[in-house]
Formats: sequence, C-alpha cells, structure tokens
Amino acid sequence: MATDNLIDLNILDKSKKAFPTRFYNDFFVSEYGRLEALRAARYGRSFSIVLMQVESLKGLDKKLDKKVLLEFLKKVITVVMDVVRNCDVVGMVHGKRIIVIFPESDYLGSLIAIRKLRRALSGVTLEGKPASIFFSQATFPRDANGYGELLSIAENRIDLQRNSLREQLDMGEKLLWENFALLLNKDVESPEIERFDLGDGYEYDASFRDRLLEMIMQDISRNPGNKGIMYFGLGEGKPDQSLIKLLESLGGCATKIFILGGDRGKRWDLPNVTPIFISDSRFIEIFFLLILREDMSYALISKESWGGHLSCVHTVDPYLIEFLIMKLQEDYSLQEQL
Amino acid sequence: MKGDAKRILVASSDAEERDAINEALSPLGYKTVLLQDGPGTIEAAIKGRPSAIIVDLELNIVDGTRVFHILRNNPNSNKIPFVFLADNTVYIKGFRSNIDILLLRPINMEELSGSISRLLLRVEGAERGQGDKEIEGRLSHISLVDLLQMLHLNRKEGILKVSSREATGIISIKNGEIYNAKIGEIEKEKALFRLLAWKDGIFEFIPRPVEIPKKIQGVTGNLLMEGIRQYDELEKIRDQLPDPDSLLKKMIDVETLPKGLKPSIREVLNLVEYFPKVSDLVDRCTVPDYDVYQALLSILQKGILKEEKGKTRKRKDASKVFLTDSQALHIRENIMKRWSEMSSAAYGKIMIASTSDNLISILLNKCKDLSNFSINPSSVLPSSDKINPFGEVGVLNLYGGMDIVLYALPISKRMQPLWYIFFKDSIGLILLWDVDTMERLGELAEVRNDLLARRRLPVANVLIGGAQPDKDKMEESKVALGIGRNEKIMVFDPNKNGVAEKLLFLIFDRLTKEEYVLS
Repeated sequence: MATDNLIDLNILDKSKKAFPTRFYNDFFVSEYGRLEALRAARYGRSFSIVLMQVESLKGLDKKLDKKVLLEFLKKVITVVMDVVRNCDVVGMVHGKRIIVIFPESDYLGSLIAIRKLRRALSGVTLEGKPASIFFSQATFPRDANGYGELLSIAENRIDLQRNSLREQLDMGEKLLWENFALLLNKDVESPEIERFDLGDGYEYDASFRDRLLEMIMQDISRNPGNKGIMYFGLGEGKPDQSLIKLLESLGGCATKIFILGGDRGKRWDLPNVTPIFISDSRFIEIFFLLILREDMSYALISKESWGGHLSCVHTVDPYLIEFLIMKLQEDYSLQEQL
Repeated sequence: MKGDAKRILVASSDAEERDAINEALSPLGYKTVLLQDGPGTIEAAIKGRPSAIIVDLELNIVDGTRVFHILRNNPNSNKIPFVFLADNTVYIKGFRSNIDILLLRPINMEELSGSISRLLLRVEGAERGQGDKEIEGRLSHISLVDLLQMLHLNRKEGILKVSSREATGIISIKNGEIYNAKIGEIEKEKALFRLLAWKDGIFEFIPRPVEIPKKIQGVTGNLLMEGIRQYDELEKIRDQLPDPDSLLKKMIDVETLPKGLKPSIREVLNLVEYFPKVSDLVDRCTVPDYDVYQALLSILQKGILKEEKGKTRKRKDASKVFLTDSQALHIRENIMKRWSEMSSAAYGKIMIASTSDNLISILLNKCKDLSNFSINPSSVLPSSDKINPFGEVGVLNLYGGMDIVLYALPISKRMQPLWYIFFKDSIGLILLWDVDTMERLGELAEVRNDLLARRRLPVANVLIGGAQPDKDKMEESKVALGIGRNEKIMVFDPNKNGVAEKLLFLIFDRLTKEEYVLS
C-alpha cells in the first residue's frame, strides 16, 4: 500500500476547536506519555499505547475534498473516543497517527483494545467505502522502559503491519481454514513464517512435533503465572496420551487452554483445559497450535500427507497469531478472549 | 448444606436458549433446572444449593445481576459459581474472576459445557482442600501404602513428608491423587517406588494447597500396586544385580543397535556414557529402579555392556567446588539486576547453538562431574536430533535457588521461530563447532547475529578439538562467524581437565561486565 495515501492528520490540528475536547495534540500526548511511564515505573504498573494509522479509503480513487476528509476523521475520532475508557488519553502523533494511551493496561489488554477499536471503526465509512486503518501497540515495561521507545516500537510495528502477510494475502476477508491453507501453501513466502517437513528422510522425524510441544509446555510450566490463551486443534479420537500427559504436567496455569475438535465422548478431568467438541473433518486433516501469552507467541500448523510426512509452518509473529485466534473465535462462535 | 453435585440452574428469558443449554448439558450428566425469571431462580437456589447457576443478565422481573447480588448476600448461597450470559461486555459488581464466568452471545454450546465442567472441577477441588488436619506417625505403625490409600480415599490435598535416617522424601497429594514424589534430586515414580520400600521412619501430612504440575501419571491404587510389585520383583533378582560400585563399559557402538529399543534400555545406554558407575546410573535414570536393573541385566546378558567389578572411577572434579556460595549468589544477583524482565529469579538459560549433537555430548560429558550439575535424562538428545539438537540438556543448580539450564537450539534457519520463543530468560550463548563441521558455521553465525540483535548476551565462541587447531582454521572460523579480529575463540579440549569450568566461568564472569563478547 502506498504511503502517499496516508491521510495527513495535520488538517485536524488546524481545526482542533471543532473537535471533541479530549482529543489532544502532539505535545500534550508526549508529555502525558512521559509522565505515565514515570508513574508506571514508580508504582510497578503497566500501561500500553495503541497507534492507529488511517490510510487510503478502500476502492476510492478520486481525490477527496479536504472538508469531507475532515468530517470523516472527526467521525473516526469520535468512534475511538466512544470505545476507550474515560481514563484513556487520545491524541495524535507527528501529525500522522492517532494514539491512545491506556493506563493500567497490559499487553493482552492492549490487543483486546485493538480488537474493539477495529470492530467499532469497521462501520465508519466515507461515501460507503471503509477506511484502511492499521493498528499496533507497545506495552510498558514489556516492550520498553520509556515513552519514546514505546512509540518508536509501535511505529515500527505499524510499518510491519502494512507489509504483513495479512495485508498481502487479504487474509482478513478469508475464513480460518482458508488462511491455514494459504499459510501451508509452499509458494507463499514471508519473513513472518518458516516452514519445515517432518518424517522419514527429513531433518527431523515425525516425533519432533511431540518434542516441540513438550518443550513449549516445559517453558510454560516454568512461568505458570503468565496470562494468555492456547488453542489446540486436534483430529477425532485425539488427543493422544502424550499430549494429555503434557497438559497434566502443566498443573495450575494462568494460560487458558482449549482443545478443539476431538471426540465428544471423550472428556478429560483436566482442570486447566476446556475441551470443545467441534465436528469438522478439517480438524482431522490439519493440526494446529496457537499460543498467545504475555511472554510468548507461537503458532504451528501442520498437515499430514503420504507416509506419515508432515508439512509444517510456524511463526512467532504476535499480530498474525492474534489474527488467527480472532478468526478461530469468530468462525466457531467462541468467546472473544485473550 | 452440601448441594447436589451436578444440579445446575439455567435461568434465561429466552426459551430457545434455555432449551439449547439443556440439550448441551443433560447428556453430560448434569441435572438442569430451567427457569425463566429472577424470583424463580432465587427460590430454586435457596431451596437446594445448585452446583452452578447459568443466568441471563436480561432476566425477567429481577435481572441477572440482582439475582447474583441477592444470592451472594445469603450465606447459604454465596459460594455458588455464576455463569452470566450477556450480549456485550458489562461490568458486574462483585464478579469473582476466579469463580464466575461471563459468556458473550453468540455462545458455542460446546464451549459453555466445557467451561462448566472446568468450573465445577475447580470449585470442587477448592472445597475439598479446606478443613484438613495434620497427621503424623511412624512407618512401623502404618505402612506408607496404607497411609497413601487413606489419603486417596479421603481425597486429601497437601504434602506428606517421610523421613528415615538416611534421607527425607516428600509426596505431593492433590484431591487424593499423587502429584509428585521427591527424594533429593530424584522424583516422580522412581522416588515414589523407593519411598514405598521404606519400612522405618516418621511421617507427617501437612494439608495445604498443592500448586505444582502433576508429574506422576496414573491412578493412585494402580501406582501403589505397581510400586509393591516392583519391590517384590526387585527382591527376587537382588542376587543377580550388578555391584553398585562396579563400572560399566560399552562393548559395542550403540549406534549400530536397531531403532525402537525399549525407552528404559535407550535411557540406560544414553546415560552410561556419562555415568558408568552402576549406582550413579541407577540414580540418574528417570525410570524406576526395577526397570533400570531389568534393562541393565538384559544389556549385560547380551554383552552390550560389561561389568568391571572392583574398579571404581574417581570423580575427578566432584570434590572440587565449582562455585562458592557467595559467587553463586553474586551471579544470581547480577543476572537479576541486568535483566529486570527475567520472568523468575529461579531460572535462566544458557543457549547452546551447535553444529552437531556430538559436540553437545562432549560438552555434557565434561560438565557432568561439576558439583550441582545434572544432565537432564529425559532430554538427552534423541536420535532424531542428530543434525539440529534441540531442548533442555542439563541443569546447574546455583546456591540460592537459581537453575541455570543448558538449552540446545536447532540452528537450521527453518527453526528460526523456535530461537525466539525459547530465547527468553537467556543469560548466555555458547557457539560450538569443530573442524569437521565448519561448513555449518554460516548457520551458526546467523543464530548468533539474530539472537544478539534481540538481546545483549555474553557469547562464548568455542571450537572443540583435541589439539590446538592451526591458525588458518581459527581465521576461517572467525570469518565464517563474522566476529571481530580481537574476539578470541576458546579451544575446548575434551582431554583436558577444567575446560567445562573455564567455559562456564567465562559466561558468568562477563555477566557483570559491559563487553559481552568473550575471548
């Protein structure tokens, strides 16, 4: 997407009187952010920033009248104001991006906030066309220890978002399984994902997947207090004993764990796992693991083909993983949560 | 009043929703009571305490929130967990995040039933864990097997401490199930079965919440039966067992053995290289003693191993204290100071990127005699990891309670995502290669550069080789790794003593300094 489509928010600056009073300028926001970082460090709390970049309006070729554009931006900002809490600070950064500072919000909280903002803004259109809005976030102290650093991290992330697989392949418009098929397609290449094959004659045998899961569980059990969510997509009759053992070995854990697909008749008394039976043959064909935690993000999608050979794709990109989790929750009417 | 274990009130003003929930829960054995308004729900909850209440926030006459507040103020119903059904996220005053659940419509009924099962398991577990009293006595009065059966039948939760003259063992019990057993560094079934053989000693049961992961699988009754069986069988073959002080010698190359060996035999063969003394080997194997001895006997009979009686190998470095207590505390303090984001003060990783698994074996072989160092037998690299070894391979327990884990990372670019997820909590990086695997130095360089771009770490560049390699090889390594001319490469000679200490000291020493690339 070309950057010349970027909508210049400076037009807001010149007419800020026409705006809701709680939309702040660059100077105020950066001062507030700096103070918030000091406050969070002093009291050992976290806070997050969310950046929004409003870009070209999808499918709208003609050059827009400044007045129309201004009205549209006002609408966007009003929606943002409605979604955020009273304690959150909304303003602009470098005249180009909208920023929201969320005091007392952790990493997962900021991702949830992005989901809410994205959903609310999807209804804001101009001449019937939706705007293209990119989101990114950064959290104190997870990502950085100062406001400036947080901002630069969030800005980098927004740039990555603009060139991400999600945008390139228009994944937002597709269903979960279509997206899995896209990711498993060997012609799709991106720095966000890596592929490997398992089975006889390959670098690793098929048991490597179990070993990988074991190592992940071991890592999670070392830090059981970290919040997050984990989805396993399993075929019928599974999970096998080794996975049950791994899940049992986790013990009490702040990560919510869901097993999808599986066998309706088979229920496990695992206090930390919620099994959700879904009758869908695609769960038999494709195994997936999606993890999004405060300290870890990982997705593994694997498809079995001839001779026990497994084609796998994996990623640690948190935005891609969060997107896949969102798709999963949407497509199967699961609770929207992280 | 103790409520019916599976009676659930379903209160919703929408008849279709009530029926759908009923259809989802009834087949699972829950007895549902369908209600359509607030007063009816309150009355039903007070008449007989249900296990849970599923309530629509938009309930008729008295809404769901009010029903919740009324029942929470009643001492007979204030512990009932609530599942709220709503259209949007709402703030519910008094919501207990560890007990109550808020589900937003549309609701996947399988998710609802899964959440209910999990909720009830959690609540029942919490209720059971309360109100126990301490038990203590002697094993000569009541055997450990009887005691564990009693705790199992009463579904107790807590720690059972058993002490004999020689050692103390701990058994963690939750809901009557045995979660783990420990005698020193030995744990799981192995420790449990050893404890079951104790005939004398004292015990005490301390009721308290057990938060550890369940490390022992299986039902308590079966475990105890198996423990007794193994004890009896071991007694029968005791005369045939090798002398605990004997050394074991490999007679053939293990690699030539067929694949698919029994796991216990595979483990014995993996570990005998590091722990040739019989008693050490038995202690270090993760499987119970009887299985180890059985595996050992079968291997000895087949001539794969040979027992060398009367020979005892001196542990060259075991008596030497590798790190003093104050050094260990200093290292721990520095690690915590330098990386404030470390998730725990009890754990740090030294990542190992190696061009071959053999090199990791060589390193482990030198580390194994260090005091407080243990090879993780369950993670000794399986044969599938020959090219790109992966996982936890050993642990150094620092005084003060910090575990320094040696963690092998696969260096293949295709495994790059694994570098990032397992890299957190890292405190050092060791790059291992030898002259035979120098063609993979490019991959090693990629790992190095990638990881160091994310976190400043002490790095040890280690060339494993018997003699001092020639200058050309060293220069070639430097170029391939892309390291500066002033950076040195440590030559790790497996035949020399003290090389493992030197390597670890290099990492620890530089943890306190600014310059992180080691010489």
